Amino acid sequence: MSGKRLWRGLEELAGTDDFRAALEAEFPAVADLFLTDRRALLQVMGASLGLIGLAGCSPKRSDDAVPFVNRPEDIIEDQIARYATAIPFDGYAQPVIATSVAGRPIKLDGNPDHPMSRGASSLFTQAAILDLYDPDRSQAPLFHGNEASWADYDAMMLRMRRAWAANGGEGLRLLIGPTSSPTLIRQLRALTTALPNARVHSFDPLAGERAFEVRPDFAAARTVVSLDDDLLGPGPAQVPNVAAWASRRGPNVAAGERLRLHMAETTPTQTGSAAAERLAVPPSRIPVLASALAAELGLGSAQDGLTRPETLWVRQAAAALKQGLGLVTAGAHCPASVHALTFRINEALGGAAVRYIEPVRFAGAPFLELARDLDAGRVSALVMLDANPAYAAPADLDFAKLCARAPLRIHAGQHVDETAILSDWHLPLPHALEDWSDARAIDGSATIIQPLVDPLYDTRSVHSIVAGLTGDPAPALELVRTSWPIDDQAWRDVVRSGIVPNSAAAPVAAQAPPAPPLASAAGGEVEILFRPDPTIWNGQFANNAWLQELGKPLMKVTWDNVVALSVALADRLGVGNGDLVRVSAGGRNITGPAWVMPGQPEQSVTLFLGYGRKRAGQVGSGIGYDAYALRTAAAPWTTQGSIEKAGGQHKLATTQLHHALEGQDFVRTVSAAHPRAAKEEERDQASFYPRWKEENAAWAMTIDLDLCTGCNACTIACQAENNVPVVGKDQVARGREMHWLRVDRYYDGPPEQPTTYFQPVPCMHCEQAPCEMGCPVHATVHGPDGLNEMVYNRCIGTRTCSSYCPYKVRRFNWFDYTTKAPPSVQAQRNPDVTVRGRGVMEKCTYCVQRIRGAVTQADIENRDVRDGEIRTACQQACPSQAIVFGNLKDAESAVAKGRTSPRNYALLGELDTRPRTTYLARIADEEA
Amino acid sequence: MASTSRPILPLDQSLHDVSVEIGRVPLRFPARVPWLIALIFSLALLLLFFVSVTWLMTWGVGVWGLNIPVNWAFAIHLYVWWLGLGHAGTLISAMLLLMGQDWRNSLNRFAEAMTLCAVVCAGIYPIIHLGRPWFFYWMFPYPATMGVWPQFRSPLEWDIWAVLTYLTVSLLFWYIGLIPDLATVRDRAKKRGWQVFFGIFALGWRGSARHWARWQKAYRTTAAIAVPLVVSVHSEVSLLFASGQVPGWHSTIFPPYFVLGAAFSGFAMVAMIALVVRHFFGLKEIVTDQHMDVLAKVLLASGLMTAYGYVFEVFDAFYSGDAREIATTYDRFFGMYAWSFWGAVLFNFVPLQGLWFKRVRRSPVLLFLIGTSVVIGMWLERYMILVTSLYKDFLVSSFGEYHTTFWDWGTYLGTIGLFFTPFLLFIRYIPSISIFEDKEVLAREKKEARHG
Repeated sequence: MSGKRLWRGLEELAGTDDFRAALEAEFPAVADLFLTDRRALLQVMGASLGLIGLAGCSPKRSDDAVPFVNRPEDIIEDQIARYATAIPFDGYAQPVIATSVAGRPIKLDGNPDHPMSRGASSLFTQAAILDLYDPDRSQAPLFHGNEASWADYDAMMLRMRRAWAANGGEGLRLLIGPTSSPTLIRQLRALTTALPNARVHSFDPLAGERAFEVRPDFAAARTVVSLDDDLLGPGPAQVPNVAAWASRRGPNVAAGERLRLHMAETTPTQTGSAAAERLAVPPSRIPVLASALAAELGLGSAQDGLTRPETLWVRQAAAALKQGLGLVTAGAHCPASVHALTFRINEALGGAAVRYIEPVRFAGAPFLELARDLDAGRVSALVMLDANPAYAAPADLDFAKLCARAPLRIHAGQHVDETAILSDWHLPLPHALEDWSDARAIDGSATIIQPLVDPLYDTRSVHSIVAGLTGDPAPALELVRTSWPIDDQAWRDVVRSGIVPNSAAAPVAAQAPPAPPLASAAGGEVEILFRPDPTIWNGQFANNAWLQELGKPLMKVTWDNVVALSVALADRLGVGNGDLVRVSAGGRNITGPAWVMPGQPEQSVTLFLGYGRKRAGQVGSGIGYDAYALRTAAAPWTTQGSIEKAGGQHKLATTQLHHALEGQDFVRTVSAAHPRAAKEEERDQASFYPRWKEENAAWAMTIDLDLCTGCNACTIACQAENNVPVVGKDQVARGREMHWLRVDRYYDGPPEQPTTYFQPVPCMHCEQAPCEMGCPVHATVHGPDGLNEMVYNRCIGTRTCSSYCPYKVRRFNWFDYTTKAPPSVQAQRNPDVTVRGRGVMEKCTYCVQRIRGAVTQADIENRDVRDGEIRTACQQACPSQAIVFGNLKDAESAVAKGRTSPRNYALLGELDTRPRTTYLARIADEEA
Repeated sequence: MASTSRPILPLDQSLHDVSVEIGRVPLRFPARVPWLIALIFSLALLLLFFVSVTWLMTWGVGVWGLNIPVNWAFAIHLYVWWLGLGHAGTLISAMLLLMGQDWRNSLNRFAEAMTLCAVVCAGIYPIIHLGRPWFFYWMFPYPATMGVWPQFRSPLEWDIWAVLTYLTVSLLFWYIGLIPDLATVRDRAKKRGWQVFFGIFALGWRGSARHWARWQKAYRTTAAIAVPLVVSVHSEVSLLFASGQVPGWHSTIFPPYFVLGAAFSGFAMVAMIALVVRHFFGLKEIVTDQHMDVLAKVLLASGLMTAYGYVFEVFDAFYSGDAREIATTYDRFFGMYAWSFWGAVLFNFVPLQGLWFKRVRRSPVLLFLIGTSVVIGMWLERYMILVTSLYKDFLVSSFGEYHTTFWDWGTYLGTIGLFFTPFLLFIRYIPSISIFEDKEVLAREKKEARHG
């Protein structure tokens, strides 16, 4: 019996009691009924079976791949290799360097040579490695839900091809998810040429209303006015945006040169948190603000009916823009009229800070046309490539019914998802690390996606599938190579470096988009805004346990999406966090847990897409509510509706229970008047204890709070690097999340208009560490280089260290969190980092494995470790480079210099723990 | 010897009566049915203990409601509580022996036994609360192959030594005190099995003058060692908290505060057990109302001293001016776990005031209820000190909550079985009140009465 059949068998058999009983007898771990619910139970069983499936295909590197770094000769073949490649996210390439150990890809980091990464990465890029090892990935083609072979599919396709060749592809429709792949775009063009009656449609649930591709250039701006554009928030452009924003802040930017951000938004975002002036408005006010701003700048007539705060905000924004080097941007989801206005304003401002470029992604025919044609019965074969319309299509289209009208439905994807089960054929796609492809980054520059492993399962590249529609399904490498008519040496260079030189999208001449009339603010009880979930996005990451367990940057809620509403609205409804509310619009309704969101405008409700998946996998199915159920084709982003208390409670698992700063000075801000962050009494406190004797190095870290946007890339990078386990919603709700590095979020000021602070908190590596004194068995000790070291195999779990730790950065293995992980997930683990067992304490080590590796390398080369040579995982990922790590003994090191900054202060400095991790205070924005 | 104005034992009984009255308890057990019911109940709880500990060992300490920040709760809280209950045994026996307080002689034996059982219950917690309890011996300085020693700066390490020393000395003290009586019971035993059993443990005691002289020396020396241990062991326990910087813990008042609280709860427990034992075993002539009266006064005194500790803990927090100490104090008054603070105040000190009145002191029912109240009050106090300090310490972001689970309670109720099962066996099979010491008192009182 093959492993694959076993895995498939589980899906069919798991429902029967006999099977469950047999498995419980076989796998005693699942008898843990008090700790696991049925789903977790199946997860354990499924994982055990999945192992058998995996055992058959040991990860192997493709021989055509070109490693990024030349392997030293004395290192055993296949030990550690790094490859430049890219991970597509919403169609855009996220350039990465993928690290592979003994043939297993274990970590993705930004490609330092790529302008859209500069070595940094986002949380989605960091988490993408886990998707490769997702035990729920589709593993073989399915025909009507039964396992089939590619030969069966090819035989069927041969018949179809003959018919299409005869009628020019009559009735053939492709529906394709967002893509920027030059190869795929070339193939699709070739297909429509060969089969002129076939059509290709695009499907992107997050597609905006912007008619042009625009790249804001912060480096050239001094003022940025954002109309609900979450520039610094999650999304494909987050890394370059944050990097550009950070380049205009921080220590090296003179006070007068600092970027000033004016933000008008509905749901509080990271961008709003970073803004000097933030205005909370419901979505219907954004067009009004846009035209008022235009009027203030002399474009059009003045607007009436602005509230006082709105008038003030518009005046301040306009005044700042008038000083020059200004830029106005609007969220992609804003109405086309707003985009037309921002275009005109930017033109009027000189347009120095805005670049318009050729569209990077493929633009097919609209999805709505496909829906219409399906309804009309004009579609005979529907091929859905890497798209999940059954889940994400507008609710009013009833895609399931439409889809049934096409006689042949083919779905290709990495999961047997909601669309797959509606299809006749389901074809498994490889992960981006498994097969050849190419993609363009947000600026258009192309990367050849090279595989690090042979496909783990019986998958076929999307390129081969598309090729198979008109001819033989050639291998992906051949198809990708054809797209790049360069010689072999150039090809090798391009593959190795991870970027095709001079491939960035060409700037295009700006053309004023048509300006439809401003949408009128329709009546209704509340305005409903749809936003992608900050960690699960449009639902594609639903089965990624790292992203599920990551607290949403502003809410700190895990494993759920919430209905965000204002303090006033919550008061009126009489609901608090977790109380169920029913949101209705257009005759449909959803019920979800309320979240009282400080800074949310009064009569607005924000729904987060991406949850309520039915077929996401063991991790992501059946959690949260499905916001797509309220979305219509006509109003995909905002609508009017009503909200009421539904009764009942939903338990939300948050990683932070208290949110107000409560008058404490954990996060400090310096200004021209008060340039020093540290208080007098915190400096040079006397101590009874002698100082530790230190040797060559004194490792230390500074975290610049002026640069931190709270994006959480550091947390996920740490999780990937340090084998930090996922513990599940129930454990998080009990306060047992395992993240070594957390990003605390505090509010200050009135809940209607709060100031939001982010503060990443890793281990402080105190020089006078309370934890070291408490441990009775020497399990946490002071290293010669000042590291507060954790000796896992000496730890007996008294937890004294954690009781004494003032920062509560220590994490405890309350249960065995690691051996029960699915075996494929275990394959992701970093072999340089101990996997911790039950009953031991763990915490941030400053990535000690990287320190020791660099020190060993330096010793071999008979030199000192260079500054910047050791980069902790969090530091490496950070898009704003807020985290600096290095040797305090080296006075020239960046960290030593940071410590001399007047902004430097220690968290809880008055306790005299003398932390090695210190913070650089925020710099107050100048008064307008 | 100090003399009481009134004899503490009724003078109308002969020395022989004392032997008979006490010695008959193990040999012809008076309260079979109540004892059996109590034993079955204890065994059920003991079973719960074993189930809970098995469950705990199988899955890990996560079965309890612990988390970060409250990563110590029931286990440590009950460790302190049980240990405190145990202290009265040593205090009554050893300290009052050295001070020549005759009234102790009717109480000391089962008070000591109570100490032993309570220390066992207490001692089990620091082991089972470990993440990896199978490595508990790493806290001992054994000759490990890696040459690793325990970390002597850790209060937990001090704790190991304090508790082990205390347990050893308590055991010795109890046993030495028991030897003459074991001999008495041996001599009165009818069945061969009992004779051999008590014979072995009586160590060949014949009651010669030399035996008595040596015994006196040994007993008083052990007592002199035991008394400071009560102070040291509970002071040390308090350092487990006071050594951390956590607001609500980091205070120099902790050692005396903990010792007094321990004695307070211990005396309450002794009073309760004495009342029950004398009721069911009909030992009213041996454990007299006069005894209970004295015990009640001691309870009142130690209670008032504990109350002083409360007042000064609060005063110190404000006097220090430390914002976090003040915040923790406010939080104890008004926060999420305010019930534990006010509960402790209420149960510890309000019913206690009844003991100012002789009628209350001499009423078995009222004294029993007050004792129960104090034991509950001290339970709440230990809980309050642990949880209210940990759940809100320094960084607002890491504030948490603590909620108990079934297994927290299962383990706790189980230790009650662990306490009562050996204790019930002790009062059934071993003279639970010192025969010879009571005879000694009675003889002296009779002599004094004659010479008046």
